[in-house]
Amino acid sequence: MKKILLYFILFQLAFTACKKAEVEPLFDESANKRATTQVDNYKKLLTGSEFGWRGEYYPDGGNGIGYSFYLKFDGSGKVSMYSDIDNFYYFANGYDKAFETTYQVKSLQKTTLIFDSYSYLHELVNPDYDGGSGQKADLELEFTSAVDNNVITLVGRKNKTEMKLTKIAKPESDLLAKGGLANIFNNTFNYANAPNFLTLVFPTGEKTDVRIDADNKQFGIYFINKSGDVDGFFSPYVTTTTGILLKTPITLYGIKFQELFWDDVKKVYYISVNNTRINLTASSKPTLPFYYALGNLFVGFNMSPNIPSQSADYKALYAKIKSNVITLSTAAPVRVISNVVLQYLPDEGVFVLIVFYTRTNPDGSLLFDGASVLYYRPTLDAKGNISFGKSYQNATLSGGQLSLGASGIVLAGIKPLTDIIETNTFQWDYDPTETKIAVLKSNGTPSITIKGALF
Amino acid sequence: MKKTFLKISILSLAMSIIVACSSKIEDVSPKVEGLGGDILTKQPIDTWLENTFTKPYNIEVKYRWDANEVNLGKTLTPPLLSRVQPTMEAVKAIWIDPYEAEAGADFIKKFCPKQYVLVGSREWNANGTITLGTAEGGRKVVLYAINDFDKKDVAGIKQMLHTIHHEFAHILQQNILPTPAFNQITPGTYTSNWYNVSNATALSLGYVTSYAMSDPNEDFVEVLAEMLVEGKPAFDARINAITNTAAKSAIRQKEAIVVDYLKQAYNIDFKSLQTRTQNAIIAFTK
Repeated sequence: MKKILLYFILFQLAFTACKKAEVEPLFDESANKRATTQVDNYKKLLTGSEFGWRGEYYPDGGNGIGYSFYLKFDGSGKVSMYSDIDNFYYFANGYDKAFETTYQVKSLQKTTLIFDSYSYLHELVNPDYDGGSGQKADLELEFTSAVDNNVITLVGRKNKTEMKLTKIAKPESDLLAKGGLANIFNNTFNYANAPNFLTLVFPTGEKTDVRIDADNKQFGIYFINKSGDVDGFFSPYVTTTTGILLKTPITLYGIKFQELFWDDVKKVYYISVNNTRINLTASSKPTLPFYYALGNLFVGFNMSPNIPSQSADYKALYAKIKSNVITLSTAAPVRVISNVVLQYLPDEGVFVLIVFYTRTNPDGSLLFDGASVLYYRPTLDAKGNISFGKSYQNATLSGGQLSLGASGIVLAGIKPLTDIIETNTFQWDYDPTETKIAVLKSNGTPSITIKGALF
Repeated sequence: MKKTFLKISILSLAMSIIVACSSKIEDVSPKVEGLGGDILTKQPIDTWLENTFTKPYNIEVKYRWDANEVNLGKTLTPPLLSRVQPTMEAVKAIWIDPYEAEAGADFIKKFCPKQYVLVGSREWNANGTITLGTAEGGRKVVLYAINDFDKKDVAGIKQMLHTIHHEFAHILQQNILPTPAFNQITPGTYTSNWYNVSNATALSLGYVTSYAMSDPNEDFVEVLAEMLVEGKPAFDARINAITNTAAKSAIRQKEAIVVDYLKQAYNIDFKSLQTRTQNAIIAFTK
């Protein structure tokens, strides 16, 4: 019994005698408390900018087409938004108006900004536009850093969309309210699609060609490098209230620029280097020689008979092949050629001769609206003579789809043209005077000059 | 002696308790921040939803994005704020009201799914089909394609309400099982490849829709939903147009089981419920 008692006391002692070790926590607050504090801080930061933020948004891990979002967050969970998306399916008010929607800042695996009801931004996420994945954009974005409370970077949770928010001031906010973003967007589109080439002359005298692809929001600058090859810098861009903002700055010939500014009076773009303005200039032909520019600044040669200065020989040839095809058409409705285009496919290194034609039913509806497609592999000699060797099988383009084989009637009808193309060598260069026009001139017989619009 | 032992042991126990308790109580479970769900500022629509669904029926309507409520592997968007109220008005008018009028207020309160989650886009599946609604264990219903909601679009409203009636019928069916005889009407033609079958072919095989072919449970609720949403004249016209007499009779047998089931299991007069649902659709899309 005594033994039991002894063990009992010892047992009790063992439980009570241990002194608790003081654990020194690494952080002052619990993880939970710190997460909540961070949520509050980011909320304060977002709502703290009186005029809001400009967001540069690049979906799909930063590789997608860029979009700008002008965002103004308020304390009640609402965000007002402008964007440079060019068309909206679900919005009647259009992109020159602010759209108000809701947001949350929430602690998920990281502190996350969630655009939690539909907005302009969700047009990029929406899977309905292309059967499942949208543009690989994100509506949940994790905060990754905040610099001086002026720049916040975020990354999408699912598709790693890159987003950078920069605080904006009153002038930018005023421009937004006046439809400034939409104005720049439309002007950029028209400027980029104007019928001329764009040149940027550097302060040191070097001339470069500039290409703005407004559909894919890509900026490119082309030049001949020291080894004599065509070289370039490219960057996606987003539209701002003052111009376009490149994703990556371009450094060339001693100057560096990331932004191009729109002059709404002169209707030109310019860059600003040390407060000196350098305008982009419109020119009738590029700085790059013809064969260097082909595939970079343009891919197509539209051999339209309607070009005012088109040669009489080619007009007659065009009229002949057109009537040939009509005459040869055995079954109604007849095939009527509407245009002929020579296009370069840079990836394959081949040319296609595209002969567009239609077949119209008696009631005016179109039975066929497409083209016969003939492939040619080019050979270029040292003197700049180009020849076209028949390649691949012929194809037919209809409804945006290519299928093997072309109409025998069309092939027989256009033989006068294809004979010239296949049996001759040509000189091909810019038209000396006309804008965006090139001249294809045969060296042998029959001697023929064909003008084409570059696109 | 024994008493002394007892006294000592009680003393020592008491001592140990006192000593043990005398150490400063350390709060090892501090207050958890952010418990109790998201605290969101109420938008005007929240008040309406609360008064129309949450207070009377204990139904939560969640329209703001929460990735954990939907399939994490899919790309989806939240709904447009302006589509939330019209959508839920249709749900109230064409699903809750007819049932309530027919079976009493408590019926909906007892059986309704307790949470509606609204998604703006469709849900795209790997096999090219789209999902317009899903239900989880009779508790939660997810409605997709809310952004396409249009009050005047009768076909669109019928399609959405079809989903809701379909999911609600699953709950009824899971609470009281229908007769197994239903499963034996067209036993051999259920297929997981239902999406390769057109609705017309499904009809000629004795199913109201192609989705009904996926399994007998889906078949049962499809019959119920089709009859309610399409209405008797349209439903009859469709069945009477079937040339295959075996198929026609199969659907009629299924129809009879569904009507009988609602009467036996829930004391609901199907004919009257169908009329109320039809009148509700007409009134809503007017």
